[in-house]
Amino acid sequence: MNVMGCLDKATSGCYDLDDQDTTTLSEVELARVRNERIGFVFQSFELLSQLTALGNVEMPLIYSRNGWFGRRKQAMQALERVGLTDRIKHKPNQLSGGEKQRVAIARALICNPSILLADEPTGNLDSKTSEGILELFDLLHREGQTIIVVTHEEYVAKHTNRIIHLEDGRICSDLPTNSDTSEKSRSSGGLQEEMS
Amino acid sequence: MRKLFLMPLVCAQLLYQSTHLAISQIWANKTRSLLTTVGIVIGVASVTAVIAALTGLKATVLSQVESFGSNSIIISPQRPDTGPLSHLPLWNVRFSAEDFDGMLEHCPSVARYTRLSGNQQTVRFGEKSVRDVDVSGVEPSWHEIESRPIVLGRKFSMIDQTRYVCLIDPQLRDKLRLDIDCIGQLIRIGHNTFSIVGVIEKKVQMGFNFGGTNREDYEAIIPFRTSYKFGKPWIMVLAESKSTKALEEAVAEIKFFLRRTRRIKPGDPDTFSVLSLKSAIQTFNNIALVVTLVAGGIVGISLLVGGVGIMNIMLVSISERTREIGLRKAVGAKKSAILTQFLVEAVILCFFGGLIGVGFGKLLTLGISMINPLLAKTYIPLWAVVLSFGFAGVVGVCFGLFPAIKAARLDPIEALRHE
Repeated sequence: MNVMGCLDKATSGCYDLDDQDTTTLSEVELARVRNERIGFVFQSFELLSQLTALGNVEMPLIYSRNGWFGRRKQAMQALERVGLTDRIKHKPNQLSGGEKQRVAIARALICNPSILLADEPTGNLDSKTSEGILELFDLLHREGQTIIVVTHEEYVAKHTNRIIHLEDGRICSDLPTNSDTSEKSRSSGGLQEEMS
Repeated sequence: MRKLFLMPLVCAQLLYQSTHLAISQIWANKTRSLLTTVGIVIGVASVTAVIAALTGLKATVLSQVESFGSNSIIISPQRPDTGPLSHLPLWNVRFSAEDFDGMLEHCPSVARYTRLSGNQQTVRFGEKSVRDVDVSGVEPSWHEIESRPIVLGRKFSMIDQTRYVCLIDPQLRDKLRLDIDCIGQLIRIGHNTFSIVGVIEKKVQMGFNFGGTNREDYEAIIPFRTSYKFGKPWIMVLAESKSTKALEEAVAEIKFFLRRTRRIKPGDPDTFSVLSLKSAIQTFNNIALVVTLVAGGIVGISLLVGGVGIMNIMLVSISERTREIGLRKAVGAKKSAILTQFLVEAVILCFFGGLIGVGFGKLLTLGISMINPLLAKTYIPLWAVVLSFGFAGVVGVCFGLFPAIKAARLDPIEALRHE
């Protein structure tokens, strides 16, 4: 997961992102890849408590090359996409778990990344809110967003149209699911990681 | 080319962002930030106050010196520090009027001089009397050396040398209830009757009266030779060199001349002092420099302590915000962005301290200027404010750099896993 997000470098092997070997990239270039091509959604949301929902969402733009103008507007649009227009001025401690995760998703989406990486996105949520988040993922996927989800939960994996099953660091199976047939050129991937 | 064009914009953006973040961070930890900056506040406050006090003192001293004339030389008797004369009373080394006869011929750099005698007398007019009036005996050349304007009447001239005539200041005139046009009226100074020939403007107040008791000085001026008739007075001499350039030469010539007339053997110390105002200013400047250096040292130490405080709090802040740093890196913050953020935070913290410090310095300065009239001209020059802020900024950069580098070097994954 961290390697895919260009947060970490693989000790061995290589990781190609858009036909580019990431092991050859400098630290500055990696930061740019993280900023522009990858959106992160963490299990524990990782929102900055001193910032409002809007502030949290617009944060990646601060570090982007063309985020100088219209930052606020873009952040509003991202919050709209996740359905949180009425929580713009709220701080994270005034939001529910589901809302926090929606803010985190909006933050991940703001730079229009090619991949949305979600690490156990429902791990800290109850099943009802989890369902809401998964529905949001489905919606985003229908809009054409590539999403990779790492999860232990079977029902989360079911939402995807490709499951890669990992066991002890090896790929066991790589199967398309029949629940959702992709009409779009981009595909959504689900990565189910089983630790035993 | 495009990259080159965008560079300043990117830098400005980064700086603006960092400033914004830093201010919100400082605002979020108000109490902590305030306490952290105390060291800087004290340092900056003391540096501004010291500079302000010295500037004020300098302005006062220089204005007094200038009112006196920059070519002036004061010659007064002085007991030597060593030798047999050092135990004698000061009276034994007093000047006699004859010591200075022929000085102009022997000292080509001296333009003119006047002997001055001074004592305090009771002055009477009819029923009115004023005690402790400063009565000075002067020679006519005194008018040229110490150019005090005559309000009414005339100056002394050569014919007045031994006559019983006097100049008085307007305050004494009013106190004695003399006529506004008092020329020709007779007053008693001591046991003698003097005729008033002129009214002279009051002396510029020398502010050296520590303690604040501003006694009203009344002044009467009589011819030197007249004052010499009443007994041997205490004599001082005021001389003036031909030009400012010749001042040093004039001093040397007077010293040589006086050693001869006073028959001081070679090797024996001088029994007089010849002080030019230039050398007095020099002395004052030297003292001011030493004070500045000492104060600068103390201020340096307090800024150092303040800087360590800043560094400490930045380190605490970074370890508290490790996860935040990890997250920022994960969403694409470069090393330089994190570095700038924390560096700017430290610098702003210091500037903030500097701002409060200058405020306190201003208060201190106000306090100082009220204590003593000598320091009434005390003010904070602009360069002192700039200097203080400069110091604060340098401290911020120096002590903020290490924590900022530490923050920038954090590994994003480890930072995100930090509890």
